[in-house]
Amino acid sequence: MLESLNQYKFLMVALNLVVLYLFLKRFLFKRVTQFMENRTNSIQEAIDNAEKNKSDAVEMKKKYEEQLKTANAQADSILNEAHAKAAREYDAIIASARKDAEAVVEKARAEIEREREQMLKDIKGQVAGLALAAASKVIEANMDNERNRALVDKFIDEAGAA
Amino acid sequence: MENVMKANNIFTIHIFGVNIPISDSIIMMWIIMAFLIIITLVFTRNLKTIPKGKQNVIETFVDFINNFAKNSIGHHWRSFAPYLGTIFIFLVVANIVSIFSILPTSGELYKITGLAFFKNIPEFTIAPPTKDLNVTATMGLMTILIVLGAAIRFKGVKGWLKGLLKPMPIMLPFNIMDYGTRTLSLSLRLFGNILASFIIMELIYGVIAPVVPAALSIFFDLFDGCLQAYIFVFLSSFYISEAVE
Repeated sequence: MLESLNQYKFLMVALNLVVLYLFLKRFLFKRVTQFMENRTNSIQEAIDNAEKNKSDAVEMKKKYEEQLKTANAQADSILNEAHAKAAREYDAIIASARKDAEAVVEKARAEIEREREQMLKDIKGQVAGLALAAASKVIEANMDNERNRALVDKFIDEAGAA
Repeated sequence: MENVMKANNIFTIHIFGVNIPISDSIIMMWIIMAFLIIITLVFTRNLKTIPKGKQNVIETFVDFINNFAKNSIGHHWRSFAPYLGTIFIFLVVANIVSIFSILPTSGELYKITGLAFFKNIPEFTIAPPTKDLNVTATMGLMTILIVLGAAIRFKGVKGWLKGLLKPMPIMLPFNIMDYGTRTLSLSLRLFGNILASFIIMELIYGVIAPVVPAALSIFFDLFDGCLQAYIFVFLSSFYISEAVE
């Protein structure tokens, strides 16, 4: 069997195998392996992207919820403040209104007092005049001098005070 | 029978002043190569992202070879997967090609049909090229050269020489001898198995009526062929992994 070994056959077989190897390497193994790896990578990338998007969305949702919570709290505090301000203003308006009303009442009362006094003074004068006239008629003498008039006024004052 | 045992020269190429004998095993190799190249081109035509039909087949095969290389060689699998895959698919096809040996030869066709056309074609039987020692010896030698190249490429000349002294310096002659014995064992195992099963099948075809040999053919041609291809590739990957680790 060994005598059939031949260096040219050797070379031919080696050449055949090398050609087959180079061909299959280039067009089968490299190509298909590359193709499959590219696909694996792209799938992995897509999954990673999806995962990232998901986590982003979750984060965003959390953020929005947080913001919503803060907004609610803010709204509450604004409302409370508004309530408090309104109450304060209400109180202030009521107080000022009361003060105004009191002032008006006070002024009216003073006016009344003043008019009453004026009236009393007028009445007093007329009463004094009447009294003097009556008295002078009674004693037939003119009593209408300075001294008598002061006397009558004093009398009337005493009567008024009594 | 003698016709079966030795490689027949079909014709001779005269080139550069030398005569290159072309035996039937080399012609078988060309046929197998043409078959594999056509299959490859057909199967890898317009690959799609979503595999379908034949693309599944080719992806499964390449994946199988890649995983095999990954498992046995590890980190440097990329450099060797194409070689392992090439010899594997070549050996599988080459070893089981003898199931087509029931096709009539050109001489038989001439006898049956009487057409002069068949007389001009040299007598040619379909036989596994791996029953030719030239083929298996070349493959064994190539594998050992690749093992040697792998060791030098991934460990450097120094690392390779140091590796020869492992596990202890006294092992040096045995480690060197390994390259020779491995070449011999790789080529002779394959050659012996394929030649033996081929001869057995020829004998069976000669003495037993048709149909019955089919069952035996499944064992000797298909099973033994695939097994030997796997053993050759497995040992190659084992030697390579030993060299690069």
